[in-house]
Amino acid sequence: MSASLAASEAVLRVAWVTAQVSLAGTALLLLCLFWMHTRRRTLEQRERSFVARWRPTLAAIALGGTTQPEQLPSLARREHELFLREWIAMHEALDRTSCCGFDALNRQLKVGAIATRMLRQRRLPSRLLGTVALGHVGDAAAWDALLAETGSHNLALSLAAARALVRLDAARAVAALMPLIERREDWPHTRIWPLLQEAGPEAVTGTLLAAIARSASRAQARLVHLLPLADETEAAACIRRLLQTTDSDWVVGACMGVIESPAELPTIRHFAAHPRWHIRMLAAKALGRLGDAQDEARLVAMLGDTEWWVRYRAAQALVALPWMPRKRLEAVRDAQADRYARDAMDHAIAERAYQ
Amino acid sequence: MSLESFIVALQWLFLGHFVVLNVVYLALNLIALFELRRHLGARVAESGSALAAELDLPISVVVPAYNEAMTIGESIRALLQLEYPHFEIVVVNDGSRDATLDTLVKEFSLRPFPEAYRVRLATQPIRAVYRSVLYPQLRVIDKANGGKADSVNVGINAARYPIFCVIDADSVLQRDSLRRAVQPFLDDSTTVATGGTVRIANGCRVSGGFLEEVGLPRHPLAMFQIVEYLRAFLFGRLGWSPLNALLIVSGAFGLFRKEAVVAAGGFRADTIGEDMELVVRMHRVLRAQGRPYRICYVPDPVCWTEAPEDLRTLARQRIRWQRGLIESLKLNASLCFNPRAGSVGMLAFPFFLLFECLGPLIEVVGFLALVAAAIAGLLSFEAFAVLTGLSIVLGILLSTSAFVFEQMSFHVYPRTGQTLRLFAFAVLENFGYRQLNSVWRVIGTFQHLRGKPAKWGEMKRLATWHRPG
Repeated sequence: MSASLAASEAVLRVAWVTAQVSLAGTALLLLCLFWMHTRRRTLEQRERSFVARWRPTLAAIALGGTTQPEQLPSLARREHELFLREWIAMHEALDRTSCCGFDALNRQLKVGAIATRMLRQRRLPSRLLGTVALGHVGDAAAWDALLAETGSHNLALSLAAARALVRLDAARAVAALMPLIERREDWPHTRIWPLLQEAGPEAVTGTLLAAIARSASRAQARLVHLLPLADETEAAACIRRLLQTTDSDWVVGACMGVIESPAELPTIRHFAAHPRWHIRMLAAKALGRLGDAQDEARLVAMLGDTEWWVRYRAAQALVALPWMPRKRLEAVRDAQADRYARDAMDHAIAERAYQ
Repeated sequence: MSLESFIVALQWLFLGHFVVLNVVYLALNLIALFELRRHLGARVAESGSALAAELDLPISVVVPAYNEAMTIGESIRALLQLEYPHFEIVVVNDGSRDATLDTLVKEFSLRPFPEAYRVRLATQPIRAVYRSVLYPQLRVIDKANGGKADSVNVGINAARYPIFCVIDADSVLQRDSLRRAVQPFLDDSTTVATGGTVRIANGCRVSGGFLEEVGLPRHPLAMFQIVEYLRAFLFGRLGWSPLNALLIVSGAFGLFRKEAVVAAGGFRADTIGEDMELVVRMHRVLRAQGRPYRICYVPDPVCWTEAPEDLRTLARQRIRWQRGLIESLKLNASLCFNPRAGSVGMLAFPFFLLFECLGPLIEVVGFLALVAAAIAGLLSFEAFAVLTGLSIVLGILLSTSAFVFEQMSFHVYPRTGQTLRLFAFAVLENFGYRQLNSVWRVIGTFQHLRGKPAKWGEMKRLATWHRPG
């Protein structure tokens, strides 16, 4: 009985202490909540006041106006983050030539120095703002700091730094970034594309082709997807070379997806009979884009493929051939013994009516 | 074992359960805190640069609809206005007995379309496929009744894009919900599913299918559910996400990679918690295959849904959730303590089994035993008060931490009065509501054990917050 009592008291002591700690924790959180609520209100007020003072000025500069130093509104140090945010939004909305009007303001307020200071801070949002702003300021002295940020484990920060580098010096940036594009699998294609698009074909072509030439098949396929961003003629030559030499299905598939030259039709036709359905499907799509009269029979034959996707893409490719009138398409459909082939043709014909 | 020893053991069980449960919750809190900071930092980058503007992944929005004639037109019109560059809408009419299909045909000028429909997931038969003349991105598939999971599977078969989004026909989406929720797919090509934060629409003003103003409901039941949802989403799910051990993607709004779902077998039509079951199964299948994958959670509020305001409907919902949870865990039991399943097998699955699934039973049995012991004089009033007080204080602590998260991130309820009201309900929910919930979940457990057939039941919707656009 006494042992039970002692054990029961131990339970209650633990429970009592836990309850007290939890209560103290709750009180602390409540204080936090109150502090955050009050701070947010103060920040919102400060932001409203800042926007009221600065937005008209920045908008006037964006529209080509000039502002004398003494006419500029005040800018406290604690407003630097707000200022950069507003300043970046204005730059993102304008094209690069329209941003020239900001040069005088940037000199007067030392925007480059503000951005560099932000970049050195530990807080991620500040570093991001600093990074993006430095790309817009065009301060070449920030190159090394930005290059270091491209190695950050934080995806947003590394890509923002990459973009800033492209804005500073597109050709040099692409050369510096290409090894990262090859290596960093966390950099998604959907993010790399706009970066290189901004750099332009002149900056991209040489570096991209060299990277494709030296990389292994998986990375090579990844880079091939970027070829539409390179010079058209050189990209076509690269695709031709790859299709003649590669034995990687990854690379062939990637090439089929980006091929745009009718000169490659014999190669595409060759791949239309590839043992892997994925390649046949991409070849059917490519024939729909580039094919000529002699491909009609090939595509009709592909309607009987064993793989649903190949039949579906072949039907779409047939419908995409510009010289095929509806009547002929319907005749092709009616001639199909296979129900799935007929369904695919029916679908593709109806789809065309919506385009 | 003497009665006294039994009482002591019961106290330890009760105390141990609460302490371990709350220690895990606090750990999830900490993880969620770091994840939220990372997420908010990335948001600043996205808003400050044009990186996100290009090349969004196309998405098929799948909308299962059953007897939704009253609201379907407005819901689809709202979906058509989503801010996303490239998406299609596939409405699946699940053999509705009302005028759902006629309404759709009339309002969106639908015409029969000879779709090359490919059966990748077995479903109830398709009757017809329609396509809108006015909105080419809108298709409606009419099928025999088979339930929500069956309808979503039809939508998956018909989806043209590699990512599909499942939403409830009555969900109110944020205009930028697709852009927010697709982010993990853009950032990491191994992402197979994402869920977003679902909030309670009661008390808000909705017009034309979109949220116009956030507000709090008058009904206490809806208020309690707001507190619950804040807790469940803001640290429950956000805490598991960085561990890649998220077991639930809400059926009201979730994005999935089509090929991964098809490879896992699609949604199971014979379970009541098909959304959770699919996610747990995807973990099991992908872990067994050793394939790298991610199932993520996006903390941004993307979807608003109506919470039941009557006890009957709420009870049915909670019983259903509990049964869905048990089914999901049972059907994927091989994950439990499976070292090959990593954080899912060693952490999330056992946690859900011990605390989410069996927790209500421990809570109810423990509480009733303590009451009985106190009445019988075997337990002092002080002891009873300390133990029940502890459970209440821990509950308040967790709810308060969810508010802190809300305040530091999205501050959806910005007014001081709203915060105070929410805090009051976070305290009040511990005096009856939470216990009632546990009772419903215990009922759900017993219904499952008895093998009683699961039913969706009628969801009583008031939609007083809803105003036609």
